[in-house]
Amino acid sequence: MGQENPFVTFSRVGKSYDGRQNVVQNLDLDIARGEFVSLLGPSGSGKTTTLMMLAGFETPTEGEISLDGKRLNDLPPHKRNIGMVFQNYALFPHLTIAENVAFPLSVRGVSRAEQKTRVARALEMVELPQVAGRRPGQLSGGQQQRVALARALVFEPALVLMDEPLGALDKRLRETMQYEIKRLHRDLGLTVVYVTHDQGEALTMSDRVAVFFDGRIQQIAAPDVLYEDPQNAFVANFIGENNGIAGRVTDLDGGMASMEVGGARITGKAGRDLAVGAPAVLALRPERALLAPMAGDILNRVTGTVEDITYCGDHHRVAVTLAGDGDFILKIPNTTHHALPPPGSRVEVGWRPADCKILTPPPAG
Amino acid sequence: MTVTTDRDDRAGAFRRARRRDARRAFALAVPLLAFLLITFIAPIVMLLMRGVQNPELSRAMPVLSASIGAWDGTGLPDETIAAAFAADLPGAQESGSLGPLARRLNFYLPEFRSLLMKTARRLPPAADDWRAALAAIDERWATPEPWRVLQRAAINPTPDYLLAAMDAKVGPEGGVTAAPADESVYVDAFGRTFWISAVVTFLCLVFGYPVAWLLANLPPKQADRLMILVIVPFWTSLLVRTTAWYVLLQPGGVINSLLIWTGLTTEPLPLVFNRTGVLIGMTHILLPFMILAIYSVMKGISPTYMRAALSLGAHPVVAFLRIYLPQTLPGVGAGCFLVFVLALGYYITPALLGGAGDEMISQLIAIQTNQQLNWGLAGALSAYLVLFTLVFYFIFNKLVGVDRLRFG
Ligand SMILES: Nc1ncnc2c1ncn2[C@@H]1O[C@H](COP(=O)(O)OP(=O)(O)OP(=O)(O)O)[C@@H](O)[C@H]1O
Ligand SMILES: [Mg+2]
Repeated sequence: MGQENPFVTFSRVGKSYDGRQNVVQNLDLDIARGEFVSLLGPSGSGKTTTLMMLAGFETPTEGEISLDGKRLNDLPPHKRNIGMVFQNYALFPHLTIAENVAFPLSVRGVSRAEQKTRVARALEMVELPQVAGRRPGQLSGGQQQRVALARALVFEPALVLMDEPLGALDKRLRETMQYEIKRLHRDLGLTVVYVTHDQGEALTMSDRVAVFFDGRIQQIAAPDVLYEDPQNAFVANFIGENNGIAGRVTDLDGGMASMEVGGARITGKAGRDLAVGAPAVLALRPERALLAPMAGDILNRVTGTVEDITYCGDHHRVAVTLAGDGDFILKIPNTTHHALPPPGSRVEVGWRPADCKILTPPPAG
Repeated sequence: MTVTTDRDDRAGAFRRARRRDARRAFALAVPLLAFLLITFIAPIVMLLMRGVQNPELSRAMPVLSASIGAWDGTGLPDETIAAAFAADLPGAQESGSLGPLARRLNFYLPEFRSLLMKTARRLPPAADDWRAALAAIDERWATPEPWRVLQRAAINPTPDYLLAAMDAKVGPEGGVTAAPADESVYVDAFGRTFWISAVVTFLCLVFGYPVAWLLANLPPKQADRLMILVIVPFWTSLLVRTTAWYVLLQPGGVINSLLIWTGLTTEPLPLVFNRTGVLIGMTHILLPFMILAIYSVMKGISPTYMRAALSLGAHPVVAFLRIYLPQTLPGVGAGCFLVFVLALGYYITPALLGGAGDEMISQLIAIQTNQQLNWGLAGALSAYLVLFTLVFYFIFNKLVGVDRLRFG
């Protein structure tokens, strides 16, 4: 996507706060104009730091960041023309909503009359024209976040950054706001870099998701690729649910690999850097595994004991203990009426080789 | 029917419970209220009352004070009034109330004490014409002045102290007139007090604001160290700090020696026993109040506001002036008010570091209570000080209104 003419480029960017440990290492990232990219990862993985380097509040200790072909490293934040939405909204408490939204215009010397029309338009855009005269303290969290959005967009920045903008909102409001942000992104053709540690949010909103761990991007890809084709065990475990059974590689053959799990031989698509005899981890989504499969192309079969069955409305979660290899989770859709095996009974579990991957285990620690 | 009774019962029970709670809360607060009343409010009220009370004459000379009001103030009073004076005088001397009266009357007319004492000593046991008899003791009794003084002293409560505190008095013809120039010190002293307080407040703000900013924005370790530097002087005795400045600032003191040694001056600078000394000392002593008041507000301002302003395109200076500064105004207002009001009542520092023209109003009040024993005038001056302080409170409240600036 947009690799030829990227809008934002991080090349070999590193950042250290204490001169010893890099909290962001060797970061390469290209973002195309109009793209919605999420930075997703566990706490402390360097997402905010990456965003702050782009906004100009932190300086990279190595590498280079550029925006629209211009090197950004030494440009102070107020000259970058990047809109930013903060987690706690950061609306100025002593100014009214209209004054807040007008602030970026007034510091740019836009005339009063034009400020007025543009503020009105921006508040219209976030569907809050009626609150112009109020102060931030008099708005609900969701309203404040919309105002923050209007304020970050009113000066038509080249790029909009959002650092967990919906983190403080409840679930319903968060979903509404996700939709709003998506709509604005589409309607205004914005380029958005969005930090979150809610993977549902990242998967539903983004064109591409960059999965961060330990200061590095583990994989950057479209949401479906990330889910279907994780590059390493960290991504497989972090995105969605995974049956990450450990074993050893027994066979490597033209894009497919086999591993041994509790005496059974399992075949799947091979990940990178595998070697025969080395430890490996399975990547298999719970909804891809079947209970007591029919014969056919279901080549991977293991047996275990049903541990527990949980009713989840549209599906059942079935926990199966494999011979000495811990839990294995299946999601059985609640469509068939055949009875599920009772807990304690022995069952056979199977799945297609094309539905699973065999990956190198994540680095220790 | 039963529903209504139930509800009535419940409402009654609720009210009873509320009343019980209120009584208990009040009972718990009673010792504190009593303590405040006895140690704080009562003494202040009593001092302020002194500013209008005028009991000396009516206590020492009850007959005279009842009758002298009838005199029209021209010529000499009637024989009956002179007789009343002569009749009251021995009794006053015996009961010991003549001394306080003499001191009181001396505030009106210098040398009245000696006139009264002399008259009391020489008063004949009886006379046909008391006016002549008094004039024979001292010819001043043949003039209206001492009688007018007695007449004013009979008015209780009196406006005289309050007028004197504003350099005014009631003239011989009634009506308020200005006091003679050589006695007019209080209006100037009030003006000087306000001016010094205002300058000290301004200096505290100029020095205190950046320090408060550092305290609120440095990394925690450094901020703690800086805080110690602010707090330790705050804990040190006022007298110790004032005398320390006295040592530092005097002509042969540390600062002047340093200035001469570095060649910045050849003569020692006059830094003490003048306005400069007062301002340096008071600013140093009141600075922690300003710093802590502003710091407490700055501490609550999230750094994301500045970041947000920068990301929206504001130059750092603009962001500071338009976003940070306005949010610190409640602290600035509180600090200025605190420092200004404390400065209004300052006493030791200007007394030790100031010169002849630097007396603040508290020093004059102290002179009246300690040396002149003129508690009435001290009370009146204090009343004005309290009044002006209240006025400033309301002005401050209007300007940086505490309620208007409370956000969120
Ligand atoms: N100002 C700072 N000084 C020193 N270390 C910092 C600073 N800011 C962040 N770090 C460290 O850098 C690492 C990455 O932090 P960062 O804030 O980028 O994480 P994040 O991915 O945004 O996490 P979260 O999801 O919790 O917000 C963390 O280990 C954090 O402790
Ligand atoms: Mg973060």
